[in-house]
Amino acid sequence: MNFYSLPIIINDRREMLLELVEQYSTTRNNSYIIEVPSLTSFNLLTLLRENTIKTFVEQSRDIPLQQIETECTFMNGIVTLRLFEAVPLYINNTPEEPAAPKEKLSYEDLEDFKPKAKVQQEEVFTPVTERNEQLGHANSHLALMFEANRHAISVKSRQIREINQELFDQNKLTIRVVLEVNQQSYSSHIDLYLSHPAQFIGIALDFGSESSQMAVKRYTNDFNLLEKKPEIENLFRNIVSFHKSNGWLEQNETVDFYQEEKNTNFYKSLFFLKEQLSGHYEDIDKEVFIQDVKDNLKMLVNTKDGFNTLTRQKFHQLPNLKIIHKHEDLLNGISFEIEKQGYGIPIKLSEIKQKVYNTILQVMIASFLKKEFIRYNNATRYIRLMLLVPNIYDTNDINYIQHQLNNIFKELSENEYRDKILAWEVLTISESDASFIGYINKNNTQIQKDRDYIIIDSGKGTTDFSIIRTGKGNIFDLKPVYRNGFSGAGNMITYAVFETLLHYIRQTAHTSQSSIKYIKDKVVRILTSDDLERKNNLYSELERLKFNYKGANVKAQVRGTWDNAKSGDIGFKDLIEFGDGINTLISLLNGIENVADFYNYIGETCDFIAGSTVSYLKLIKDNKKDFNCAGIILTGRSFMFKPLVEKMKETLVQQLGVREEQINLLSSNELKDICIKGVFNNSIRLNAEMTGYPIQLIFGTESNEPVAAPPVEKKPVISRKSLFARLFNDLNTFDKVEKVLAFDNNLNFDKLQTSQFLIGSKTYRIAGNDIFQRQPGVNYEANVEFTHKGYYIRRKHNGIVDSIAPMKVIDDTEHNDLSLVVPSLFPNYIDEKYLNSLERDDIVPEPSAGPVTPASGNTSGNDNSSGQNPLYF
Amino acid sequence: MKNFLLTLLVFCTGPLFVTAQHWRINGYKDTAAITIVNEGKEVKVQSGATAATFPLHSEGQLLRLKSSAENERLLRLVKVDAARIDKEYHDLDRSLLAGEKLINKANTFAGKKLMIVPEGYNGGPDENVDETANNNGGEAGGVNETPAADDGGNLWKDNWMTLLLAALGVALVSALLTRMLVKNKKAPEAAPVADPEPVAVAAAGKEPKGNAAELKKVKQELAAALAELEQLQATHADLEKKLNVNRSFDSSYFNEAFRKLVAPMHEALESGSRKDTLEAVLKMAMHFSSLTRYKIAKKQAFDEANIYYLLNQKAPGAEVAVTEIDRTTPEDKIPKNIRTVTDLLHEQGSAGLDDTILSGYRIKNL
Repeated sequence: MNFYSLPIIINDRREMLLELVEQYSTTRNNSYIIEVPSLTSFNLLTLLRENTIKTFVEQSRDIPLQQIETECTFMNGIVTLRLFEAVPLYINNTPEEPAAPKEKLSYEDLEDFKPKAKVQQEEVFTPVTERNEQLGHANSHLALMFEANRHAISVKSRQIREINQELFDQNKLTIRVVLEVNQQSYSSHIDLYLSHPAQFIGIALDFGSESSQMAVKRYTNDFNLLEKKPEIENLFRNIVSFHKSNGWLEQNETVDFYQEEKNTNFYKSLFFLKEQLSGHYEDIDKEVFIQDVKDNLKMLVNTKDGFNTLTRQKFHQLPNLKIIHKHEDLLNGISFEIEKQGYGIPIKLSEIKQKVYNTILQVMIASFLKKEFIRYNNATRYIRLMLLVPNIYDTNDINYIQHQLNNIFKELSENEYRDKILAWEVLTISESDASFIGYINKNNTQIQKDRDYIIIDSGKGTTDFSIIRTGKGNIFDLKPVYRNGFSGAGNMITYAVFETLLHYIRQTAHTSQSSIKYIKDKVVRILTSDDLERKNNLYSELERLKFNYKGANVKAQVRGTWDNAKSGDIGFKDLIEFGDGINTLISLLNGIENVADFYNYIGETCDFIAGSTVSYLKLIKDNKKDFNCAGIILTGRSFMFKPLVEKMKETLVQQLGVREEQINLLSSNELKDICIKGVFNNSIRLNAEMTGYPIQLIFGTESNEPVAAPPVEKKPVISRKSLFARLFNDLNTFDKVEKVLAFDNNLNFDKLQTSQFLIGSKTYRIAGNDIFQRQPGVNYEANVEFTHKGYYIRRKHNGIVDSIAPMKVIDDTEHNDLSLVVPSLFPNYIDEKYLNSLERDDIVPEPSAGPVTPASGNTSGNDNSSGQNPLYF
Repeated sequence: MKNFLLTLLVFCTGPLFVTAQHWRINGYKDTAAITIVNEGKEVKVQSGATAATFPLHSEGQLLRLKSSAENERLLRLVKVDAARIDKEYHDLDRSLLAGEKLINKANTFAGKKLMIVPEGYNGGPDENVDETANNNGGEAGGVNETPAADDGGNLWKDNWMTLLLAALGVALVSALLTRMLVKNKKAPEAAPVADPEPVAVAAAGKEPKGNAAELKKVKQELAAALAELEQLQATHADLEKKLNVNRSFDSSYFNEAFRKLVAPMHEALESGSRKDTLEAVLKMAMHFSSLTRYKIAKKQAFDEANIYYLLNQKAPGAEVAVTEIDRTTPEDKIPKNIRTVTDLLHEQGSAGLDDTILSGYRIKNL
């Protein structure tokens, strides 16, 4: 690899690293859609002088942009920006310090003598020549300019003609950046598409664990060409129409579908894939999409008999694709098969999952575009697609998704929408970052400059969190400081309610054996079967109880209602001997109004979610010198559960030292859609590609390998005392290690060999040994750099990069405790081994409490009745 | 003197207090006895060495068998065909089955017993009485060829004698009793709970002083016994009340159960209809399940609805536990365990189980 990494800003909204490569190397697809504003001039490309061109060519130096001279030309639709090192005009005039008198050293002193490292004399350069040049006309309406000053180097555009409904005669503008250094040229290019407002369309897609949503931004199609507020699309309706237009559904079909979330614009993320896949797969590994979508993939299932029909036809319901990310082997029971040459070839979920994901994305996008191009019959479009991704996705995942999205658009633009989709830009953005941008957009918020903001997004399956730093000059200049996420959110709390129920059954049973048998045979067996109705009924009751949770001060009274609950003559005590299996259990629950945290499962779950989140955040707080938190935003639907909110606030206040008034809980109707509304804000400048700044974790002292904390025994069941102790394994490890935040080249090079690096949600190690080979007496520095190929560590001495090593993800999927993933998959996936209430052996029957009168009136702020209980199906 | 009168009484009033009546049948080769036992709840039928007991239930003044099958069985046991019985006891309620006529006839006797014997049968003393009453070569309604009406004159001749003797017997008994009562009038009437003091006082006047302590002890024991008796009587009354309630429930329930479940099941079996058989068997199973739970006080919320249905009453509150499944119910909304049943019903072309509830679901109009 030989390239230089140039930080650029496109259109004042998108920060990225442009990799300048040697000639004849292939470059990435870099196309961007520029919305042409109606009034002002605007930046197309900006290089900030405060940044540095990072070298990935060994034996070369980084080049500060302060030292760069530029030339810019424009010809045949290509702007060529030449960058070259300026010749220094003068050197440092700082008078040398008078030489210190030489010490007289004895022979003994010589042994202790260590030569001091030579200090490089700093050379100060005069600012480069300021330039302001007209480059020419980009098209009929826009002129191009080049500007270089001591702050920035910019290629700009401005209107030369009023933008009206007449489209531009030319849209594409290529900017080629050439760096000339050490008699070599390194270059890359980006394609900018200057979109007339009438042709621009921005699509934001949030592919959620539970529900997916889409928003669209466009301009008015009148003489005003004003920017409209983003509109939420009815994604479900789009998908239904798409299915009908493709003949996948009957046109006059009027049934209800499970994927419809009534009274919302969401599409519920429920997918079924056929076990025996039809279609011809030349090379299954290379195939990007599922073939014969109509037959093989069901994105709409009617509520009449859809589930049972699919079960009979051997379709598998796909589990939450986000949560099982990298854990597909958990679901080895779900397998598929393709037939080739008459031979059934088994395919694992892990092999097929990404194809399904791509296909679903394709359908979602295509369903909107079809509507768009039917409605606006002769329209042409420049499309910017922003896909919200969870923080657990690493660079590889993001690259892959972006690549697939590009493929989707490429295919659409070459076939069905040839000459209609003129160009597209694909962008991924962290869900929690998007929430913050949406938050900034709110009218009644005060955002401070140069401050850190924490966003915690806890949804159904995952909790994502970010730390974002606002700009010093411009609050919208956002720098991602840290991103991470984990499986564990609303579903995990429901799972805790389920555990509470099972524990209670065991406690009220006459014998332990009978209760365990009952739970396994009558409850778990049904929940893992295809009996949808009873699964739904039980899950609904659990969700209802969760929403009607009552706090500790009325726990005894709530417990009394459980003790006295009856279905006819049968209470919990008679359930096992005389009940009608799960039917009676559901009936009993139906008669109970509330649940309380009888056995601390719920409390521990809230502790886990809050504790995990805050512990990671504390890493940053403790190690980032200028950490200065101005506010914390809590978003996501699991924060409708008040105990979680309280626990999170309490933990944040205690461990991060923030004030409670700094913590902002969004209102319930904002919790889901704030993330998708914010992404269209063009004032925001954000590097969405980086997953976070590295944190060096230094283990042990002199050993060659990092001495990690003793790994927790990898048994799936966690003992009662150490419930969720595993979750803190990483964090306990962190507590024991020295940590360095890798900002500004301040890695501890000497301890590099015993280090791992935490970047986002992943831990990395340095591959190869060359970088550790050092010459004695030489002072080295190291830093971690992000590239589109992943993270690299560069070793420098005297400012010269002399070794570059890739960083590899430490595959800790085996070490990851599935007791975190499994509860998050509830109720789609249940494994008895991960039911703590079933596995533990310390549950003994309690003497039954006497009848207790129920509490009158309301109780401590836990009245969670939302009137809206999301159903499992 | 007394013994003589008593003997005369028995002799003369024998016809009134006969323990059994005979029905002599020409050509009958066996001996059968039909005896009402257990306060009219059962009938014991003995024929030769074979005996069987049949449960009965009351319908007003009539005693009835459980089913026509029982009736058939009884007739087979006594080896008399129904037509013959109907002819003999044509004066009894026409709704009665043949076997039931025998039973109700037996019930008219003090001894609650009817014997069916061959013509010319001479049994014990009580059995000979009917010879004097009806001995005209055949019993009233007997099985010889001549109809009962032909023996009408002889029958009256026999009966007036019986009546006369009976009247004499009554007179004698009355005289004896009156004499006994007159004698007893001189003695103080001591009610069961009468104050023992007067007796004690009367007795004390005659008893020696040394037995006073013993007497006091006896009085105390008597008082305790009387108190216990009172309590037992109250308990008895309560239990009797509950028993009556249960009897009433059982009577109502099982009558309806017979009518709605048992009889249709037999009809279905006899007709050979699989659909009807399946429906009947399922209904019986569900109702049995509900009844069992009800009886052991472990009923589920919907069991009451089943009970009420069988009792032809409305079920207050129990309906909330019931979900309807009909032809419009989406397949996905039917639990798997219920679907087993609906599939079976579909296979047989059945529309459902009417108002019978299965695990909280009412399946009808499929």
